[in-house]
Amino acid sequence: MNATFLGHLGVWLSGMFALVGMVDLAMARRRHQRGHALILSALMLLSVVASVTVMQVALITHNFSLSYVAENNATFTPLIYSITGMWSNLEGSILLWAILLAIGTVVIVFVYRSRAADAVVQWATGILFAVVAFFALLMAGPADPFVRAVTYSPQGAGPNALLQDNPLVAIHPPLLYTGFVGATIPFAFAMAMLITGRVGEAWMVELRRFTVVTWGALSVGIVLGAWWSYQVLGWGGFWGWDPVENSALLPWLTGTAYLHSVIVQDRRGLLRMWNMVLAITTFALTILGTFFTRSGVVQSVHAFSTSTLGPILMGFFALTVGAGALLVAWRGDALRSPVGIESPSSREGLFVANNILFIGFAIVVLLGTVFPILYQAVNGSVVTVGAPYFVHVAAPASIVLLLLMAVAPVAGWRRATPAVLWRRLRPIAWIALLITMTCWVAGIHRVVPLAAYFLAALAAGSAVRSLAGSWRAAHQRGDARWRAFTGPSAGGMVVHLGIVMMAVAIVSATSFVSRQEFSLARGQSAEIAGNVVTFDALRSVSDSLKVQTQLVVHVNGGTIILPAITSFRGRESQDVATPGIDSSLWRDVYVTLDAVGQGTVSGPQVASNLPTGSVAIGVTVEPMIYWMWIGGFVVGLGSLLSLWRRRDS
Amino acid sequence: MKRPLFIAGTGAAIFIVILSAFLGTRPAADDVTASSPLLGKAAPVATLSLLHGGSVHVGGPSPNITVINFWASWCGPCVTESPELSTFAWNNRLDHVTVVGVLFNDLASNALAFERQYGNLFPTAVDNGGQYANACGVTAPPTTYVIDRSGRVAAVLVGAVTASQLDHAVVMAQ
Repeated sequence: MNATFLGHLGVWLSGMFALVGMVDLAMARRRHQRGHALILSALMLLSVVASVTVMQVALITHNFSLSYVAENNATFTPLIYSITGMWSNLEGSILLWAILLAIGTVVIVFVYRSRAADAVVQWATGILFAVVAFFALLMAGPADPFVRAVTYSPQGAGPNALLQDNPLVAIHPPLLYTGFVGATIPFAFAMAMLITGRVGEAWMVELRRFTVVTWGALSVGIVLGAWWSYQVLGWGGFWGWDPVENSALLPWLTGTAYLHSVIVQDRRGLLRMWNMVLAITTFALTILGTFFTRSGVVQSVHAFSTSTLGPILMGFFALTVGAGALLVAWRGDALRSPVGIESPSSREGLFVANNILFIGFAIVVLLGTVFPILYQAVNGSVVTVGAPYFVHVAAPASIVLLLLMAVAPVAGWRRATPAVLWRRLRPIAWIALLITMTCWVAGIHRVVPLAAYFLAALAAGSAVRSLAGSWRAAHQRGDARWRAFTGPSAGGMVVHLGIVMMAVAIVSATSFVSRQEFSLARGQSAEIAGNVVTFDALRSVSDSLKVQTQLVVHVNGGTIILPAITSFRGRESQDVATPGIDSSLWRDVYVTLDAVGQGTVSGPQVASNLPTGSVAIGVTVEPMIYWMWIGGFVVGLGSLLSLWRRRDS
Repeated sequence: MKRPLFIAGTGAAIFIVILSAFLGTRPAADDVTASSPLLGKAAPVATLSLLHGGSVHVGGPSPNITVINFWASWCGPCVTESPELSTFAWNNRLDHVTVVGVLFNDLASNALAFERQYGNLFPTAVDNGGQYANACGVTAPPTTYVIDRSGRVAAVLVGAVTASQLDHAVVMAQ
């Protein structure tokens, strides 16, 4: 019994149980029985768990008889990076996806076990089984994580250096994949409703509690990815509009639209078909994103793993999403609501505006991501779509979204007039104006940041106003005060506060960033944006994993940070510039060690001209960027709070 | 009776199938091997200093197959190929294949920033005065030379390369 055999066994069994589950549901459907979905999905999950266990044991014990372990692990890899090795490459990522999807399937089957004979539940479960079967098929064929290694170095190759530099790799991918898997559940139910023709039911509303959690996971996953990039890559930024980042952002945009439009369905019974379209689209974008990331067709700075998955993924995409579109065509017109939205300034009217913005934003991002492929197909030459294209769209869209975040929470359902909105917003608007004027007095005279701060203050005020309302309500009910922050609407307002923090962080860090390269001799200081960095010492530090040329830098005479050039064992030929960051709520000073003076070469290059003993450092000062990570945490907290049901509801 | 959703849904389904067929059949890489007067001849020999310190000897007989990539931070296709080169360098680091970047008409500070941003997994050398690029006949980045163990030029690839192209070129140079 070896790892290859056991791993394959788990993969094959999971695929088999998924297929048996589909057949069992089809037979149960015909005979109007409940079927055996619970036991079959549990067996399916157990099989995937077995495969994951085999992989984890192999990684932790450095069992290089598996090709995947030999390529992504080494004898000296620390435990945490052995564990995270499972998702540091394509095959293992598919395994992670499969286990999360299997868990999701079991949860859905278990929660709706009392309705197991319901046609919608049966179809939805069948579709979830089908998606698991697809992932099992990938692992059985083109993305096999359990290939036996033919030859390997006795100490293993070790993980990619960038993936063993920061423990955030332990949580960022699983959260992201939870978000992707979470998109499968509403998709399965939307398809089931369209297939059965029971399109009038409120499944989308009922599923909202799952989608809020997985949306929260996706949001936090994206922010943690940005944080990882900020702390590891050493370029001082956090978002590059790269196809891989876009593929996580796309389902987030449509998912966010969906979470809002589902509320309209819940309160007013409108937008039912639209919600199904959004559920299908969000799922479609997760598969398309996987294609962008994993096919090798789209050139990306992240595409560390390329494969032959492209045609298979696109075939699956065409089958599922094409079927979804055909079902919408077939059933859709039966569900057109006789009533419409009565007033554009009502809450549902504003939610529709929010949806249009999010979808428009998503289309623009999608176009920018696909454009290089289209261009290459037509012209034969290679182009890249850079950040400016995306920023041109993202900036105005975000400004309008902030405005909607300010206005929508104070708008009533059905009928609302601008006059009423203004009356409710007026006190908040005055405070926001006061804050903006303070910023003006403090020396910020640029229009876009000022407008963004004003709208952010307005949106935050609007959220606080709602939370204050539920605080009073909790008091009147005699509930504990913390209960005021629980439930879908209060949780949503906490999420809004998190988004506002992130918006302020992004605007401040990108508008008022200072960046400069200095060459310093020992003891010398450099000043940038009111901060003084002093080169104290240069030393060599090594442990069992890495060798670092470490710079000791004092920031403003106090904090010591240690930017370094790091070389990991097993991959000495490549250095990683590890930044040193002095973080505070107000500003980050971000220092990278660019070069150590050799004093030998002449030429125009800064680094080559450095005298021996001097160093070239890059210093970036970014105001308020820390609020980005706090905001991400608050978004996650808000989505968890929204799960908590009030006793009275 | 008007059935707008029927039309929209059917249209969307057709679009999805066409899009999938298009994307699913995209080649992962194009063949961009170029003819060059240096092909089959000895590659120019030089010792170049590396961005992060130290030096590298290129050309001449070597136990390794050498892949020399001329790049610059201002060049768009260099951004595109950077992860591919890194992937290739990483996958072949134990197989007697060396990847060396050579900076083409660029400042070291810009190159270092580029390396930080894109996480290059191979060392890059400074080519003062563009002497080595001139000797190789490179007119624009990115251009990639594959040099076999005897020091002869086995392949010249003009434009952004992919890991699979390099794999292919290295097999040819064995």
